[in-house]
Amino acid sequence: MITRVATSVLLLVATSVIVFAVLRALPGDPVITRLGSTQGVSQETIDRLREQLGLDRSVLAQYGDWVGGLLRGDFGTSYFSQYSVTDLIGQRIGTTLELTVVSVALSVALAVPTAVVAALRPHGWIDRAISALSSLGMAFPPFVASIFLLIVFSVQLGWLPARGWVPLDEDVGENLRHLVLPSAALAAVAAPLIVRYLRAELVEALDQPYIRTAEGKGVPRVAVVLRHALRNALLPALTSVGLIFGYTLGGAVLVEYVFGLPGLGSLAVESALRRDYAVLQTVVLLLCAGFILTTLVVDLLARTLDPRLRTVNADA
Amino acid sequence: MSPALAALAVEGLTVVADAGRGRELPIVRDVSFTVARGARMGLVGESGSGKTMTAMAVMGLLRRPLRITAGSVRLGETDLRALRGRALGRVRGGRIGMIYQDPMRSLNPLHKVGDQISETIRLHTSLSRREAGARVLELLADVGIADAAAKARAYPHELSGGMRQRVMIAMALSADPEVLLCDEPTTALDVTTQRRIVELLVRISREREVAMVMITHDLGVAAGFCDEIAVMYAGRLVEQAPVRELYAAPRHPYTEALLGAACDLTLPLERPIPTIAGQPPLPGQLASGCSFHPRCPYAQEVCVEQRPPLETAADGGGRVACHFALTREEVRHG
Amino acid sequence: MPESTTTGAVAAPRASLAERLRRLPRPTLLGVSAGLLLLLVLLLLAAPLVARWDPAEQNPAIAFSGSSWDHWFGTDDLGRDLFARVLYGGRLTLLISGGAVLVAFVLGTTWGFLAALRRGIVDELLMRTADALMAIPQLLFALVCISAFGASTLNLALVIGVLLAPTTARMARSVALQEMSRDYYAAAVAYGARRRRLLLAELLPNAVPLLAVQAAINAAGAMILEASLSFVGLGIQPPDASWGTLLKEGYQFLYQRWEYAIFPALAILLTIWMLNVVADQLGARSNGGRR
Repeated sequence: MITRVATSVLLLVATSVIVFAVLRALPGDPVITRLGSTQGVSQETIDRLREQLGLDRSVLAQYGDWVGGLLRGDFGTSYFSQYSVTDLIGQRIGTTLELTVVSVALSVALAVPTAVVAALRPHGWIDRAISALSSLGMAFPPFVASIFLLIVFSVQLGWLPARGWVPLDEDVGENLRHLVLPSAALAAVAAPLIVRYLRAELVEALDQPYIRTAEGKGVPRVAVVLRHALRNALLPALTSVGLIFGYTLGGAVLVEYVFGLPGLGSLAVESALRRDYAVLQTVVLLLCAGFILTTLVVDLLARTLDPRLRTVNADA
Repeated sequence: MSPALAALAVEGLTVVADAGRGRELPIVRDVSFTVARGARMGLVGESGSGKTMTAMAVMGLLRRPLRITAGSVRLGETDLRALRGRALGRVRGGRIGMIYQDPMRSLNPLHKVGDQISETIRLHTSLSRREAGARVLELLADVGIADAAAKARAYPHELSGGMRQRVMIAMALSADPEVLLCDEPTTALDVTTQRRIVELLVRISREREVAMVMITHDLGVAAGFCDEIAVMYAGRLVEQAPVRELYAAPRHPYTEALLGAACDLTLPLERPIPTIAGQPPLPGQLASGCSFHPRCPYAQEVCVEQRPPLETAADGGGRVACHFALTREEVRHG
Repeated sequence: MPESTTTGAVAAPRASLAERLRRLPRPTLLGVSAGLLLLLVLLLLAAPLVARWDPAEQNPAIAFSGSSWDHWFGTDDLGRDLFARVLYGGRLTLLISGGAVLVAFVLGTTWGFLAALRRGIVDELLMRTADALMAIPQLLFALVCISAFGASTLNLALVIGVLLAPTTARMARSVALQEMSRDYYAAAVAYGARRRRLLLAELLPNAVPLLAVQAAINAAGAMILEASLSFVGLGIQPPDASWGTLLKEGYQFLYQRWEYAIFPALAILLTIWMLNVVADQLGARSNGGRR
């Protein structure tokens, strides 16, 4: 258990080093970028700016500053605007959080019953149809799915807004209306993935001797699947949720961009376009941390849900 | 014994495995037997002889690619093969129970054993959750589990092999079945535990008058448990006889080989058979005529050409499927 | 069943015509999708012969025209022929994805084989690095890299290839370890064969089926990444256009003419679908062979 947490922390540190190293290896100078094409800027001004942003110090010292700041909750200042990175992220994190949680919840809600239905008769025609459909779903990059959804529901039918965002605390109804298409686009890809994992696990679970025992006890088919097979299948499938979350997070970057949602993903894209590395590196690291943390939580959850692993932990 | 009185009557049971492209492999071939109330029958044979599949077919638990193609299974008056869905569910676990091989994998690893037993009780009785819980403790105590309350809260992996087997037995008994099928209930247990489990099963069959079928490859275990033994070879019954008769004078060469009794002085053969030579046949590669002929020391031409029918033995004490059963009997008796 | 049938299997009766037709090799899912992919590649390579218009030729008079005999997919905001633009865009996408797959293959197999051969600390170090790289969502990492190194066809192929390398390395390592545990490898080592020779002569050929699966997965991944980057403007820059760039342009004119976005979107979707199917079927096949 402790090893598992330590691994996650190490992973996060390694990730921060990689992100930092890549961004420092760049040829472009963010100060020049920030000043843009402003004419007649003296070398003095440039130097002062570099000093302000800490860019005059050694790479190692800069990394130290960055990580030290992160640990204190001070994420630095944007190279591009005068805003502090903390503020920028603070404004945006809620949207991304809401989008991700709603999409994952939607995917699970769609996927679990579908997987159960598919696993009831493996290789039957329903199973085949579901498998073909999910194979198509998995081929959709979320932003391509977004385009299709936009064409149908915004351009053609005009039911749902194509762009924009209303925060949850302003108007719940409008907030949800703006959330429908983005989360549907993400779920269109994530749900088939879950279906695939869960169906495979279910089919395997249904083949186990304890299922035969349950049938031999006279347990009705539906209860056999739900009470005996599904619980056993969900445990291994749970580990794939981390992966799904990663997919959703990666997909959310572009989906936010397509639908003009003010989230971390669109912030990342904007700062990448502006070469605002102070913001970019922190946003990327934050999203990585979210991903690593989710996999960690899911792993630990799986351990507490599985009595076999629970005993092992108690022994250790 | 007339079939009408039998607790369990299996007639002409045939099971095949679909091997794809219309090919069917015979797994169980035309098996018939009856077990009376309170009687204990042993079904013995090497692994792969079709014993377990016979039991699974009786329970209606065969999975693809296996399926029953012919025969009937009667539980008292009830035709099990005609039942589907809920009706089948009421009988399975209610009137007929089974103890499976490998209790570790046959118990759900994520449910407490007490819950797994009370699930059966609640499916087949109208007891409340609390009453069922009390009944679970009774059952656990009855199958010899001390500290039943603590053990009921345990998960399967927290129990010893013998303990898990007792849990399986308690679960199978929980709805008071008329028939209990026990599939290798003592394998993977140490000798002392084996004996205790067998004693437990015998006691249960006496006290509750449960008809039992014990599937085993261990003739020693079968001898201590059964009053009648049926021997299977390559999916067929080759001999059936009361236990004493079978052990004293096996009529089929295969039974004889199983018992390692070929060194009997009265036999005309010069050489003893310490073990059974050769391998048990695979379902797709059965020999013509009598399936046992490639391994049989007495095999003649007729054994290759014709399959011997399972017929009542000359002295009326059982059934045997061998062309030379009679001849060998005469030789034996001088 | 008659007992005289010694095999126990029912022999098939003499084949009728229908039966013989049925026995002809049936088109498999793998065959169909691989065939379609091949067809697509050929079509893209032959774009100059197939397209009747220059993809760069502007004709404002016919901007946003619908599908017609002259312009199968219609025209864009500048009156350029969309069919030609999609075909030529596909060539760029193909070039970048192909390059990325190649980079991922070379880098990934070297990485994985090295880890498998060296074991110990080298293995640990290489695989931990791979883990760390895989913990960063690919698209975010791509954003970081492209914004650092700039967008060019070469950079895109390199960056995407490097991003796909860790998973390939993982797979290559496990294949190598599996092959090395087999008898032929021990025998070859016992006969004094040199490791590098073994690697190229024995391990690599045996790893090919699984590497092919990985290549198909990588190709799909590369296409998604390339399209994503171009879509946000960090990939292929106008006037050049890959499918991602075209999709971005179409997206900007979604309310004027939604058909604009449909064609590049469909091209991306269908190609990825075919690649996924090929990867799945190949994977199932090489697994089946192993069992």
